[in-house]
Amino acid sequence: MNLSVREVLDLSERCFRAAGFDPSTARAHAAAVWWAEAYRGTGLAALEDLLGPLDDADATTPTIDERESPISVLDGRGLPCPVSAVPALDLACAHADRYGNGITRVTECAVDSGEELLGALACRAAERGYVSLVLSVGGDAGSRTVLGAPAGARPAVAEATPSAPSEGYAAIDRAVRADRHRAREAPLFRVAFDGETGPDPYDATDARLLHRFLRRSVAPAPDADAGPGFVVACIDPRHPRYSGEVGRVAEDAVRDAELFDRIHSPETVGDRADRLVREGVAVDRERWREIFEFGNGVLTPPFEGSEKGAGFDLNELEG
Amino acid sequence: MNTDRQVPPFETGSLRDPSELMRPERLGALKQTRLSFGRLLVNKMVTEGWEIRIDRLSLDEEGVGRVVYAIETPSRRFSFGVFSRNSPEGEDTDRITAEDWDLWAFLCEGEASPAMMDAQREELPHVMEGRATPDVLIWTRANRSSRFFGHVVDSLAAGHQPDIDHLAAGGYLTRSSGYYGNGLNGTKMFRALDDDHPLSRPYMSQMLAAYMLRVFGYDLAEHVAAARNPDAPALDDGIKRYLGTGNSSGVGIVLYLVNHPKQLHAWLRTREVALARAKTVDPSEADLERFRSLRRRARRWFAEDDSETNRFFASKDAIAADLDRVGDRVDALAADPPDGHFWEAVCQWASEELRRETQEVLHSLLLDVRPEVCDGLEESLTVSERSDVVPGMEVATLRSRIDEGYAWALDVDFDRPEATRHFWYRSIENEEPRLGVRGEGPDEYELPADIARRVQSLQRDLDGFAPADTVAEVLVEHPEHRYVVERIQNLHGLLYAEIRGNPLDADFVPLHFIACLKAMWGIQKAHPKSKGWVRGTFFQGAPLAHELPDCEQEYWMFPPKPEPAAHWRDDR
Repeated sequence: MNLSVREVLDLSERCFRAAGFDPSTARAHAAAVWWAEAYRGTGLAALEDLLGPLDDADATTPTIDERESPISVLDGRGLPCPVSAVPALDLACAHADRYGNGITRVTECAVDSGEELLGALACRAAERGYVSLVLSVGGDAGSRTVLGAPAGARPAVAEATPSAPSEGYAAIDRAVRADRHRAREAPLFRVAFDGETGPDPYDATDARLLHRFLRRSVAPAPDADAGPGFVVACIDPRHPRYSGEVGRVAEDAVRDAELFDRIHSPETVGDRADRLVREGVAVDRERWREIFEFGNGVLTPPFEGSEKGAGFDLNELEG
Repeated sequence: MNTDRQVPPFETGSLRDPSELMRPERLGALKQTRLSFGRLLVNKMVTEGWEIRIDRLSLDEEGVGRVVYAIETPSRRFSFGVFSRNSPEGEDTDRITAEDWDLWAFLCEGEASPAMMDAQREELPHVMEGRATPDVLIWTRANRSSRFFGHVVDSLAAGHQPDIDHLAAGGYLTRSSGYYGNGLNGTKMFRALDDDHPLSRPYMSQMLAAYMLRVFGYDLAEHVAAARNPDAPALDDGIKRYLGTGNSSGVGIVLYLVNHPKQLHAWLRTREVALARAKTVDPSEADLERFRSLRRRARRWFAEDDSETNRFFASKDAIAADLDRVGDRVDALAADPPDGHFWEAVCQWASEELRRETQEVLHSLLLDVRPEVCDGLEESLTVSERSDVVPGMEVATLRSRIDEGYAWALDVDFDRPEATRHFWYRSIENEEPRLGVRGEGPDEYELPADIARRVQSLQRDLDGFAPADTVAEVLVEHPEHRYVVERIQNLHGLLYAEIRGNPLDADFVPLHFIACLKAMWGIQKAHPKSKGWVRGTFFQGAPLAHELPDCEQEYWMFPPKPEPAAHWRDDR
């Protein structure tokens, strides 16, 4: 059967509402499902896989370990990773607004549930105007890196699946575990990625740092002792502290087939999304039924009042 | 003085203050205008000379069978396929999840082939699982009017026209409670329509489907009458014009308006700009004559309308009496012109002296005196609903946004138990939005219709944060506020986005919201059946299908009740 894109969004939102999320958060998660469908063709499958863990989860929010430090740290409380995705991105973006870059490290989350949806964070951040990296470890892909870069109406996105946790992920994980993320005078990029030497195509220091970060975010670190979870990093290329070269680093990287093994050009994704808008999204009827039934959890069970119709005092003519 | 025919200017400050316009009672008083969707569709059909004809018809003597209409526009063909049956009496509920209907129908692009008809016949009855194909724009289900359809058929079969006084109490032969499009049940999404698509404006597809139900209702009645009596006359064109398509709307509209604030703002601002322009046009003699003519027509319409208005709306007779006063006032001011703009003075007087509903009738008429005040505004009716949180916004800024736009919400006294008496929910029994009494049902399933309460709750929790803290920090500790924070951020500066009422209150009247949306749609004739349920009529007075290609009827609102002609009885 075919669902319209609107139905994909509505059904997904109902599922997250049924799982207890605030309407706006549920809508953000639904947008992630649509993102996975438009970019990978797997959104509804990912949602179906997520339903059981969501049903079992006893909470819908992570707790924040660090609010004041330059690097935010969220405790995912063992919940499926998408549960922490929305606040993680918000914190990273807010920090990038203020300081030029923002990083959120999410620990203790179940990355094997809904990890595919995390890529949507890079896209959403890019829609907000940030260069963004989402680094995850522990999902079906083992380790995944998604880069999003602003590119007009639709962001440019690229993905890599390093054979082990990436060097970038490992560096951030180490920095957080060593409490070095609290040092306000030493932004994480510098802590984790400064000090390297060698040829670099960019002139400005900030651009070279970002370039290093991007390269190391797709390079595997087989011996790294990195725990599961994910990292969201946002860089505001319009921030006064950065040179104009920062945006160019991301634009170059997101098209670099040597760095990324899956490149989603805005044109290709746009064509696919337009086709899905016109023709609908194919879904197995059993999958649809399972999602539909879960989403029905937003509906109120029968009670005495509900048997009286539209509402108290509403059903009869008055006065 | 501005009397030429160019689009007149307006000053931003001349738009109505939201503290007045956005009160539920005022919104409930709004009337159709030239910018209402039904009128925009008819205007387009007439201007472009659309042609509507029966492509295939296969109905038995009871009117059971299939009909396909072809709708030709200058750029595209559409089809309207109908499956007609005759439900056992008493089974028609108009409920959105009901499975028994007299009619199932769909509007699609291109031709509705026999194979497509077969496929849609299988799918349409399945409310939840049924699937349209991507070229289908609208699904709709409808019932024959138990009061009027049979009367029309009986009359025609008996060789004469129906009793117009009886028909005037309702005004339609078929009635639908919903038009499902924009992706519902797999229908084509609105955003998939090209800019030059004939139905690319909001609600145009729904309006065309409603118009086609009107067309089909007449064809069906005449077919059944002819099956009984081959000499049965056709229904008189004057009667047909006076009737329309029935509509039944309930409390779900409250949630629709609360959940589509950007649309609401766009639609209201568009008509307010037109009104502000109209007020600056000082009338010529011809304008005054046109106004007098329109006013007389409207006055007669209200005086002739016998439908019940319920205690929540002004009686039709009272509005008719008010319109007499408007006529007197305009004549007096024409004789002794006021300082400043003429229509502004009339409207100012009306706002002090007349009922809200009469004021809005006056506003509607003004837009028809000089239609060019609406030029170019149609474009602004389409808006994107996209919305996102701005996580880097500081708490101080968020607070100022609340102070600027939500003072009305902070003023609601939620310490009164009556202020939260109700909760909104969607029942598993039929998915309709409903109202429940708090404490007497599972309010953990409450739907977010409580904007004022949410704003107050947010305001309280913001006290725990420093002015320089960010929204992201607030939301990670209070994720329950994300909905209202996003709303406050995204609606900033949209004056007409928030309805300044409390849908939880014991005294809340859903009818005001319903009447507001009906005015946007273009429904003129409406009669409340209860505090939360309104029946109304689309297209009363509109040109008939065969008149569209060469229509000279420029203004069709407020149609006078047809005078019975001699041949109405002689037809037998």
